[in-house]
Amino acid sequence: MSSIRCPLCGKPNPEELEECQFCQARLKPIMAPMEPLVPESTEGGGSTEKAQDLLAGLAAQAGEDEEVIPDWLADLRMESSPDKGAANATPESPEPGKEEDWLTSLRDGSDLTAESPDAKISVSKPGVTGELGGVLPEWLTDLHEESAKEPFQPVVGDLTDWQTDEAAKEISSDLIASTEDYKKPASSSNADIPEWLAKLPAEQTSKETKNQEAAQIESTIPAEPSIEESKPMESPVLTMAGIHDGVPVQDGGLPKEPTAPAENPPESTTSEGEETSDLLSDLDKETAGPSPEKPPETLVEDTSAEIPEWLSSWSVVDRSTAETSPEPAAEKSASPLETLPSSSTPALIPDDEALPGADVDELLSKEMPDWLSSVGAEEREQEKPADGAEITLPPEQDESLTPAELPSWVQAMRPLEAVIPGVPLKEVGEKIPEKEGPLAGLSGILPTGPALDSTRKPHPYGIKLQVSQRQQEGAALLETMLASESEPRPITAPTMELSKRVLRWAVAGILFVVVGVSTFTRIRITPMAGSYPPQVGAAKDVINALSASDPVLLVFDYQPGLSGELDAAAAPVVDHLMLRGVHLTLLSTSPTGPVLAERFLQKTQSVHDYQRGGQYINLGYLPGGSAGVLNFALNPTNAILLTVDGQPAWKSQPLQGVHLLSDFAALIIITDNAETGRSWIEQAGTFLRSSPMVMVVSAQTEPLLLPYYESNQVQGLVSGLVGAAAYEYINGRPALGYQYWDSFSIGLLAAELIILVGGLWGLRTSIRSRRKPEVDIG
Amino acid sequence: MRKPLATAIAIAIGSIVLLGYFLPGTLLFKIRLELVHWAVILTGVAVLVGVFNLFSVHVEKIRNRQKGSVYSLFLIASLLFSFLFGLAFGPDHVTIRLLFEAVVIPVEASLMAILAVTLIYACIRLLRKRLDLMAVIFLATAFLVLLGTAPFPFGEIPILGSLIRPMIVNVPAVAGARGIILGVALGTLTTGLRILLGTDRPYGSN
Amino acid sequence: MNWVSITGLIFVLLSTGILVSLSLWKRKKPPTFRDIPAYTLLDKEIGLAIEDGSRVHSSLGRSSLLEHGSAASFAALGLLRRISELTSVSDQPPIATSGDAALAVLTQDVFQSAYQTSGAGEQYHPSTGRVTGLTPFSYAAGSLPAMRDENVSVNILLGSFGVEAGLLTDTAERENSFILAAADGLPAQAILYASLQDPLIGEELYAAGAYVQAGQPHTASLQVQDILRWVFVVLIMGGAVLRLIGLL
Repeated sequence: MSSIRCPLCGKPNPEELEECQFCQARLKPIMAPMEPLVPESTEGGGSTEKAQDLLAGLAAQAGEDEEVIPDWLADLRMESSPDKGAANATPESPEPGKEEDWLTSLRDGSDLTAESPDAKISVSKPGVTGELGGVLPEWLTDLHEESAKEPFQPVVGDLTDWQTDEAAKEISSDLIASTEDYKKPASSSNADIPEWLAKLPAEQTSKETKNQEAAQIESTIPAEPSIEESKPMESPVLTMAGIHDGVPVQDGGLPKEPTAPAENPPESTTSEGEETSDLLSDLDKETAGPSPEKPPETLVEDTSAEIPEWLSSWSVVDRSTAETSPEPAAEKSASPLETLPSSSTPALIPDDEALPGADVDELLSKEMPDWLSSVGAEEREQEKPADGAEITLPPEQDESLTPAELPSWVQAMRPLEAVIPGVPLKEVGEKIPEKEGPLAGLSGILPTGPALDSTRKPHPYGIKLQVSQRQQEGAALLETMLASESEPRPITAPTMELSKRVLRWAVAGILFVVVGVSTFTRIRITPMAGSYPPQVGAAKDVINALSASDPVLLVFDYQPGLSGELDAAAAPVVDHLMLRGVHLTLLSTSPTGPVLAERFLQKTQSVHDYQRGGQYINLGYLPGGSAGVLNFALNPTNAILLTVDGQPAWKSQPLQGVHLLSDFAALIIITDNAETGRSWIEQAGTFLRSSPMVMVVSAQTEPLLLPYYESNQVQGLVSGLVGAAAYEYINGRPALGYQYWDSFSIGLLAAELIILVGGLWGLRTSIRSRRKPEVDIG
Repeated sequence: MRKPLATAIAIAIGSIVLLGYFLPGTLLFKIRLELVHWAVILTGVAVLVGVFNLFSVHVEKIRNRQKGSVYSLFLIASLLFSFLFGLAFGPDHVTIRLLFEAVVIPVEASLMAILAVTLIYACIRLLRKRLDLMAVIFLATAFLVLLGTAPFPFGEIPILGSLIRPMIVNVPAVAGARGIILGVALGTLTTGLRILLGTDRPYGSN
Repeated sequence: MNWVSITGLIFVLLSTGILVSLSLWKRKKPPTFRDIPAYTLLDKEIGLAIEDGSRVHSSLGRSSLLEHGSAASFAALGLLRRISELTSVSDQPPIATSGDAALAVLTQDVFQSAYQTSGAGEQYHPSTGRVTGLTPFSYAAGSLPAMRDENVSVNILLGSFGVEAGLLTDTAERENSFILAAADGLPAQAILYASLQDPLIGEELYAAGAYVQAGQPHTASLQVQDILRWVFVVLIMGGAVLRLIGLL
């Protein structure tokens, strides 16, 4: 069983199918009868029906014997592919019942391609029906007669009967609109252009072929009413009609020439073309749509965009415009012309008007209409641009249309490549014969309108922005800044300033020299204080009140580092205690306290010959900090069981009769830390009852513990070397305080001077640096 | 289960100790004393834990041959020697006392001397580092107090030691100190309550 | 039980109630505190330390947990927890030095829990929380090598310090590292005021948790401090006036 190849997808289908089972494209084009197309309405189906009748007739004629093929068609075929006979291109007679189907599908414009292998209608030349049989419809005959009389011109008026009908007007408007679409830029309606038309490959024909074809067209196509507005932009409607779904368009059945671009709607300019012009204008208005993507300039000057490829081969239609013409969209207005078979059937030429093969030259040599010749001239000018070369618009074409004024921001975003018309991928320098379909063996038949050169490389629409020089500089600057952020910078280890080291050494040296000299030389130049603090006297009074063998708790809670000061501060107090003959109980909340206590007694109180276990006892370390103090205050015998040398503590002689904290006659706290003193005051103070508490503290803690003395929680306070000196003075027993007094005074003076001079120098430097701008050192 | 239980125990004991302080003579007070006694024992043991931690840190430093590992070696050696010797002969032994007097006290005294130099140097650079009114007042106050602390070799500056210094020390210094101590006490209170209520437990996984 | 104890108990209970209320109160907007430059710089410096792969050193002082300085130690622990979580992504883990054994154990626990929370439990090492000395100066002397030799760029001295804080700040200045220091003792505060660019005085130490977003309890605690401070101001001024007019 033979199969039919789908003209759209190319897949084989059973012969009996009307539509492709894969893409639902029409397999068998409906040939309209050879009668004027009478489009009834664009919306209704009346025009469709009439168009279908026409096409059915065409199809019927196409299915006739090949012998009825016009000579001119046959000649064209032979030129293209002599080996391919018309038999290959013989379409089947379309069944009347199927006329509507293919017509409808044609109307949708989605089924048919240029290369319809088994199209029912194939053409050997663009715009020429090859297999419609020898009987041409009357309308086509009329067209031929008219064209013979006058140069082919876009249909404006003086159309045949069918054109006078409203349906014809619609058809004409569709054709015109379709023509306009080829002319217009992106604004043109893609929907109005048949899909098959858009997919038809661009065919590049030689100039001679074009002329021949153009001449042939002229002779076969009825005379078209001329258009006074013979704008070079206008491409022949015949082109559109001829290629409109491949259905040959007869004179009178087609608008003879395309209308003017959308900007310039066609007008009836000729006397006999008034009706035609109206029709064309109607067609134009109805089918006017958005222009394609390309800028208008491209299409403005490319008048040949309206002329299909097959016609351009005869009539020097500018193919560049065909490239840029928009793709015909799938949706099209209902137009009988749109339902024409996909095989781009050129305009039907009646048999009696068919040109013999020898008359091709004669056909092409005939006088071409103005519009056709002007378009051809443009085509020659713009023919074959170099690859990648920027196609410049002919200046004369720029004058016809005013380019749209785009906003600046739109212009900036406009892809530059979009301005450049695409360069065809390949030069079609020769006609490629059709291999399948009714046009098998023929070449150059299928029109390659602006939207049909699918072989062209799509325009590379770039996304480059048009940036100004200033913007580029700013972007470069930003890029540099960002790059510098990521660049690793070597981190130089900052070294201590030499001045800092020198200053430290200088201060240390001065103090060392001053204090050392005064200590080693034992100079006595500093007078003693004329008065002593009252808290020192109070402390003396407390100790004076003690009796011999009274147990006194002596707490050593200072650090070894401050032993120099506190040894000097505590020495006269402990000396006074020993002079009174009290029994001392040593205790410490610091781990180093017991050893410090032993060292203190050995170093400062060796003159009194106190013996451990006899006159004093060392209870050692009391852990727990404040909690330990509280624990001891609550129950001393339970807090400390053994002495530092492992002997039972509370059975020794110094602690006889002592069971509670209050059993001690006095509590002497030696500390360098205000918090430690507070802990003893707060935790143990309440448990002392009537026993006094005397504190020997460092000079730094005096301000913090003085309120306790003033609140009578502490009965005596000796602070620092000054207090020690004062205590020694009032006690009349010089000790370490007296030894360190001169060194202490001189050292203190040196420190004061250093602070004064250094502070003033720092103040001056700071003020000067604030006045000067800051220098970034890093 | 372990974490909530530990938190509950901590909160309970803290509440008992706190209430026992304010409610003397009650059962809470006695429980508080016992709990404090336990805490004292734990603190004593914690000293040993601290010594062991110190030991382990420096052993690892020696093992990894980090910078200053030689000093860690000396530290470990001296630690072991003093510890073992003290255990054997007691802390009152002559040798221990000799070590203490020859090493510990001079080292710490030297550090104290360095601190004196550091403080003087800091006073010199105070105004260069931060020039504002409070810094000037700080430095001036320190200078005046130092001036009034001890008489000079050439004699005592009148009213400086008898009037100005006592006035500074007893009035603004003490007042400021009290204010700071009050603020610290408030912070101590709120921090303690936060720990007591279990709302802040930086230790222990959450 | 005297009126002093009763007053104190009421005061503590009142503070507890306010603290609990503020901790549980879900505000729409977090409370606004005054800007403390030291904490602002701390955030930035920790970020820089993480970026350049240096270490953060925290020194928690020498106070025992049974002493009054333990509150400062707990405040430091809260900040340490937060820092540990932040620096868990750092190449070098932070270290914490202290002068008390129990405090060192707590720092180890803080590190461990922080790393576990951050999902970096394998980074924990017990040696990061260490005791450097059992006496104040030995503690300071033992902390100096850690500040010098272990690539420390941020030093946080927060806790109970004495005059030995001056040695720590001096070493940090020599190493050109960032220092954030706060102490509860007045001598240490005086030394820090003279040594640092942005010293923390007084109860700013206890505001560390609130300023590093350690949690709602820290913020509530700071608010309670502010409330109680104003209460104290009113009481002191009122008592002074009453004493002046002879009513007290």
